[in-house]
Amino acid sequence: MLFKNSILFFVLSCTLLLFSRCNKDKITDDTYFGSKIMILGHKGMGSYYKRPGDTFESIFPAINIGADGCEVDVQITKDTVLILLHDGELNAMTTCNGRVYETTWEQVKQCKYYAFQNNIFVYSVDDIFSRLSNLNNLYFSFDSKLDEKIVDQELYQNQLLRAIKRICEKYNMSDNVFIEGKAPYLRRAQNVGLSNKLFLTGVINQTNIDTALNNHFFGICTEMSNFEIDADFAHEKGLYIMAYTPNNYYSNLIAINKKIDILQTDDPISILKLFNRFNNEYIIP
Amino acid sequence: MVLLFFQKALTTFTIMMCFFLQSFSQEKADSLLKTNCIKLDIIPLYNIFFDTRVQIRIGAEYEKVFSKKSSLSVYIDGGLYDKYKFIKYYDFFNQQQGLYSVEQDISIIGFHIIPSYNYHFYTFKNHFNEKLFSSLLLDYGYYSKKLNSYNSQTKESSFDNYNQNKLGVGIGIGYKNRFSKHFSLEIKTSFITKIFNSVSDNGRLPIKSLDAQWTSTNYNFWWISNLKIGYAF
Repeated sequence: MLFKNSILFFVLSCTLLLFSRCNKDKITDDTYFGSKIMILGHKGMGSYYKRPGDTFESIFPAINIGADGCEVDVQITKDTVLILLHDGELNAMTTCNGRVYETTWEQVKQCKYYAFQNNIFVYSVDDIFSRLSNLNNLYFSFDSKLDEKIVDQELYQNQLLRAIKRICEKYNMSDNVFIEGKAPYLRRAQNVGLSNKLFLTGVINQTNIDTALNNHFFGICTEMSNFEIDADFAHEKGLYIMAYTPNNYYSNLIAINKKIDILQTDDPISILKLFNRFNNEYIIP
Repeated sequence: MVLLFFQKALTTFTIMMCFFLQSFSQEKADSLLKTNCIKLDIIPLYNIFFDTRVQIRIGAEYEKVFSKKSSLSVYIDGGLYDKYKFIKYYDFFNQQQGLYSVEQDISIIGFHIIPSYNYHFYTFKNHFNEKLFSSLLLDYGYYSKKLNSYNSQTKESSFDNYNQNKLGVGIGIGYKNRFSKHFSLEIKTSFITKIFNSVSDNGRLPIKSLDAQWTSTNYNFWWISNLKIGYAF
């Protein structure tokens, strides 16, 4: 009896496995606009990677496993060098103290990340771009981490946007670098003369679709759970949808089922494997 | 005096009996010892069920026991190690030539021959069939890689083929449990370092050890684990 039950359990398990594979085949990476879903690693290889995000040590493996690019956090130093760092306070993740905007690049580049690997430093965008050989085939989404403690926001944001513009022009990356932000920040980007693709951050709803359309933004960047209406309402108006926060295989699938165009994921490996876009040859350090 | 003689005789007899019984029990255990064993590795089946890559390979080992503590074995692992598609898309927004892809169909076949000397250094008390052992091993691996590439923009296809020969030396540690007269279960993990690696086409990236669960980024070290079911005869 026990043997029969075991056999039955085995057969049922196999059937379930086969069934799950059938489901997998139905998922497609095609988008509304006739393109493919762009897969960006969140800060590089994602938050769960052993090396800190927003560093070359995390971005380089993400690109080598097959990701189309990365989402990164950007800020400027006192001498308006565009750097990759999530927090405004240096001591949140590095060995230095002080605010980024009050510290020069010469000082910031000495800051080491608190990490198992002892020699990971803060990078400038210039550092990263200069090290990537196939840069013009890659895409980056810049999440500008605005320091709200700065009194003269207009001056500060203009400096930040001009720093982005300089780096994009230097590497001919204006078409491949997206800028995320609230409407006033993106309008300021337009005024500064940035030709990059601008993504309004917020919920997918009619108000934000209208705001994006009225301001000629390229699309809307939203958290995966922030879909008040179907993404196709935005698509029909010509707006692209970029989604963030998926951190495992199943949340990646949920995001894809929401018909997004660009995915920022903390688990790039599983989604790249699903669409045969994973480079098995590369050994992830 | 007589009592002392009997005490001595009794002690001598007891000691002799102890030796005799111990050797008898050992002999009984040894009589169960089979000198040949064939083992089937279950680990290679993992990728068939749990990865998107196709891997159809089989791992088997023959072990010859020479003494209570040492044995020689040859492990052979071969088949289709990897078959997968890798697609890379370009120009997502149709700003230059329009969305296009470079598709690569990759297949790698090959084999590994791993001879090893095993030393059983510990037998569990009261569980004579459970042993720990260490191994000194060589790992010779041969791979043949075929690569079909298609560029959807230029409509060009290309075919490429190259081979790799690799030899490594390493050490392993394992646990063996003979749970019946003939059948046993063995878990073994080995850490191997490269002696040489020869790729037929210079300038190619080496192929990582595809029987390994981990390979270092410089391809010089790899780690293999096996779970084997053995039949002794």
